[in-house]
Amino acid sequence: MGDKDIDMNKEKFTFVSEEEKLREDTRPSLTYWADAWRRLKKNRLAMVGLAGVILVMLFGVVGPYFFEASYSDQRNDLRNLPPRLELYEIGDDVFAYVTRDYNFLIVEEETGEMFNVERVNQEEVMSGRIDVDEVLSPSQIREQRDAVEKTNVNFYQLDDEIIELDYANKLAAGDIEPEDFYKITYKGNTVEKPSVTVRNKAYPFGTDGLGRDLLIRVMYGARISLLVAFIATLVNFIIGVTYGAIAGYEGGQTDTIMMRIVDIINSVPLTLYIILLMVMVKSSGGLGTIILALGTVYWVGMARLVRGQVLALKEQEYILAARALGVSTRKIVFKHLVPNAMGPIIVSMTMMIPSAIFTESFLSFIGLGVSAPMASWGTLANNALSGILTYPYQLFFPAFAIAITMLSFNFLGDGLRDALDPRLRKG
Amino acid sequence: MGKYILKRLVVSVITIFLIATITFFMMRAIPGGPFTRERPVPPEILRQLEAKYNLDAPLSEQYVDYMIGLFTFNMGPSFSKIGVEVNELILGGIPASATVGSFAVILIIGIGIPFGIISALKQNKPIDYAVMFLATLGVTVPSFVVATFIIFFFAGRLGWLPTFGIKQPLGYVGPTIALAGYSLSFVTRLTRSSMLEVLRQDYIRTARANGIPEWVVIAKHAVKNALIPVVTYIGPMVAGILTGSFVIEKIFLIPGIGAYFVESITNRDYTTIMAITAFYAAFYILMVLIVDVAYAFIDPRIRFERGSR
Amino acid sequence: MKNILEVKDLRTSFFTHLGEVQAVRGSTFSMQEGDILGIVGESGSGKSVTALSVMGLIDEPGKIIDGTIKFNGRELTSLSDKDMRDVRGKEIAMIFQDPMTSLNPVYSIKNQMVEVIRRHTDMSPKQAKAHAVEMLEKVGIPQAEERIGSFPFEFSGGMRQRAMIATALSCNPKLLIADEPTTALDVTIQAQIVDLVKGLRDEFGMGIIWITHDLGVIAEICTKVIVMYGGMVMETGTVNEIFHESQHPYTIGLHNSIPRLDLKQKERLIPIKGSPPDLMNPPEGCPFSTRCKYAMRVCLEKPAPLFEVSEGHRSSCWLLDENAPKVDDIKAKAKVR
Repeated sequence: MGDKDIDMNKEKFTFVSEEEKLREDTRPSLTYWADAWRRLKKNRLAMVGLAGVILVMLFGVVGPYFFEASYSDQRNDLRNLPPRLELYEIGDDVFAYVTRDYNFLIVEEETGEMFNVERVNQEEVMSGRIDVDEVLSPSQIREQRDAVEKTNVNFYQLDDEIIELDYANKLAAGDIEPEDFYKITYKGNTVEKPSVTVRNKAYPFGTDGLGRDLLIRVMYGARISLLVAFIATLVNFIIGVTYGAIAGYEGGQTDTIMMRIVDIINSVPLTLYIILLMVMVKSSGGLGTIILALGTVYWVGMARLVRGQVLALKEQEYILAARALGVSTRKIVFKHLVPNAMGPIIVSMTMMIPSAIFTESFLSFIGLGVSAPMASWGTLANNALSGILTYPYQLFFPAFAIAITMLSFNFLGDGLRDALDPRLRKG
Repeated sequence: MGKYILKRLVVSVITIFLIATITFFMMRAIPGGPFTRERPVPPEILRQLEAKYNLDAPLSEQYVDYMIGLFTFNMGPSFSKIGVEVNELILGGIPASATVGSFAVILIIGIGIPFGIISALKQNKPIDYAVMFLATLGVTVPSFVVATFIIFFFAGRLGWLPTFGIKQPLGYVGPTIALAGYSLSFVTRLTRSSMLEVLRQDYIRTARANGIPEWVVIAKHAVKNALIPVVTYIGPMVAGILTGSFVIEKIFLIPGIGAYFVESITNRDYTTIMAITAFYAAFYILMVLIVDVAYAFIDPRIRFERGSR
Repeated sequence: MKNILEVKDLRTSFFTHLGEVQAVRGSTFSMQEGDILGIVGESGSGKSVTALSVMGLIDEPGKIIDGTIKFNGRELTSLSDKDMRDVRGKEIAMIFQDPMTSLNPVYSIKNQMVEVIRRHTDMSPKQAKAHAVEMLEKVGIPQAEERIGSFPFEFSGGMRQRAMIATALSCNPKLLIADEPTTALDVTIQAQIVDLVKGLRDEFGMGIIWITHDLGVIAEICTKVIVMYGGMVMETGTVNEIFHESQHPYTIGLHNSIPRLDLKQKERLIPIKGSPPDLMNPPEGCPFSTRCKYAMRVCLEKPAPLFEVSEGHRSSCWLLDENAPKVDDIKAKAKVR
């Protein structure tokens, strides 16, 4: 500090008013929820999670309305179709697709619709005695297989023309990395490799072993999985909060006994209980059973949490004031204590949902899930397991759906936990 | 300290007892009885079972027989596998399950804890983000999704691993990773957050204020405290590996207890289900007991008070 | 007498993801051998951070961004981590506010004390233990030999604080920094600890920095005082000067807000209106200006320099400028230091 600073305007040394001082000082303050929402919005990962959750819910709830077909419609001729099709252009704008078990399909370019082409008797074709109306049954075809002269060739009839499918090269190639292609002859033209690979417009996710549209089934799976998760969480919430609040508020002996019971239940992996429950009650309808099983077992975590919160909150003075005013116990618990503990409760519920989805998938995977033809993601995955190397997409889509949903809820839950933490509150 | 161990031991035994009893009554409570469900039981089995379980005898007598059977490790014949005793199944399945399970535990402790510590020490640096990203994926993606991905990609496409079974040594890689994945990620995150919490504590500041070298502060003062919640997690971790093994063994076709359990569920093989459930429960409770004792060694406060976790 | 500690224009900030928290914004003071310096201020005034800066214990996301700290002529801010660790515990020691959390719960008292002693001396484990027992006895822990093997949770708060003091003094430091060591303790224990420290100071002869918000303790133990507010030093001087001849509105305000035995019965306490400044967005001028009844335009614009009221007594207030109007509380007009 030097002399130059003394050279200041005498005017600066006048007193200032209260308002001027105040202006420097204050800043607006937010409510707990507004502050939490603000913090949550800043958390990009949590916002991604929130978006994911909304998307999945839309997918499951609204999605099926865009389709006429149902999740249980079977079409045997269209089974095990992948989401991407290698098409052979066998004629002008005539695209063909051959399935792994040699169903021959013509694919409409515009709509993606497919229809099956009838297989015909090889011998008849060979001898030229084919009658356009004569079509063979599968057993007849099987009979003839041994008596063929031309091996590794199938014949099909489209309109009035014969299609010859030579799959010798395909057979020789490896199962997983098909290297060679079909050789298809139609109306005198032979095509030796696929001309284009398109996405399956009729069945974007492909079809399963019974020809059911996988996209629709995954959508319904979303409904089922989410429904189970939400309701189970709700049941856990109700039971857990009530139990925990009472234990925490009453304290003393009641609390000790109630917590002992919780400890005993907790002393064994809860999944074992669920499995036992499911085994016991299996035959009486999958959906309700699972919800019941999930709801009766996982409330213990919530109860512990709520009890802890209540124990901490009940020493606060506004509770004492409420008691002094004669407010009933039930009101104190549900109107004062629980709402103030909502932060951790909400976080807990958000994390329970992916847990429930996981458990439901897990149960389905070991065969204790909803019964056919209803499909949850877990049952879809289970069904697809055996075909994992040949039809990987059947497993991929439900597994992916499970993973995305769980990730979204987890990110959201993590974000909520940070946003609702009162210690991080600012302003 | 001895009193504490004894108390925990007694509680454990009582709990196992309770679980076995509950299992017994649950099985008996199935409407229509366990032996007349979806498929008719072959007469040979029915005769054996009736002889063994005294199904006409009063419930209390059946109960006593059942409990004696459990404690002498003789649980009767399997329902669906004719001629096979349940003990044989369990004992036969132990080697496979135990090996994969142990590898998983080694992976979890050997990778999870060190990386959790490293992540905490290098908070918000690139390695922290990388570890946290993987760990978050690990806790959110279910084990069977991981398993199927491994099979499809590493076995199917790349051919690095066998697609199933543990005959070849490489066959252990897939199941171990899939089985350990969740718990490994959880332990990493837990260790990290616990470490971060500990490093904020006053006593760490005291140690630094006294001039203690930084690596001693971390390795001696911080780590021991940070591991306390991690040790507490080992109980649930074992549970996770147990239940995870059902799915993993089924997917990878490993002949372990988990696979037999799943099979017995599908086949409604009640004797096996009961026995394996009791086995799992007992094993789990034993692990929790070990953890509680270990916990007392680390945290002196527990030794002197009736600490509740 | 030379200065054992000279702090000039210290600035320490914490760069959090919410913004820069300017905890200390230009702190200047000094200490001579044998001084017992009190640093008094509210929470958030920067007193703890000043002490931690001296000790070199400012960690991410904090940093000392400006200023010098000279200890016995040695510049501490430029020391390497390793050298600083040699200073800590041996030359400068620190004890902290909350004895309940300042000791590692999973190691015994003996373990923690011996660790420190052996770090800074060449003693064998046996010698170190004996020395530790001796120190515990000096701080008034009965049956020290038997109890040294206990764990912290077996000691009461007061005893833990004594153990901390014993540890801090075990290597004979030249300076002891005590950051609110009695705030978390009962008033009676507080008195004991203050007496203990006074006695130890007479025996060991180290300088002491005692940080507190309690003017009563300052009056009892300190020789020199600095008053901090909003990260800056408001006034510094001897105990007498600060208590009886204060020349800063904040200090005066503090005096008026303390209940005293000699106040008349119906006389009201006069609290200081308003609340402490937001250190993420500190005011441009004097930090106290928004609460000061004498605030002037210049106060809102620039912080005041430390005007020298008399030898060793300085106050950072524009009222001391020769251009300022006369007010009742502020008597002298001072020169800029």
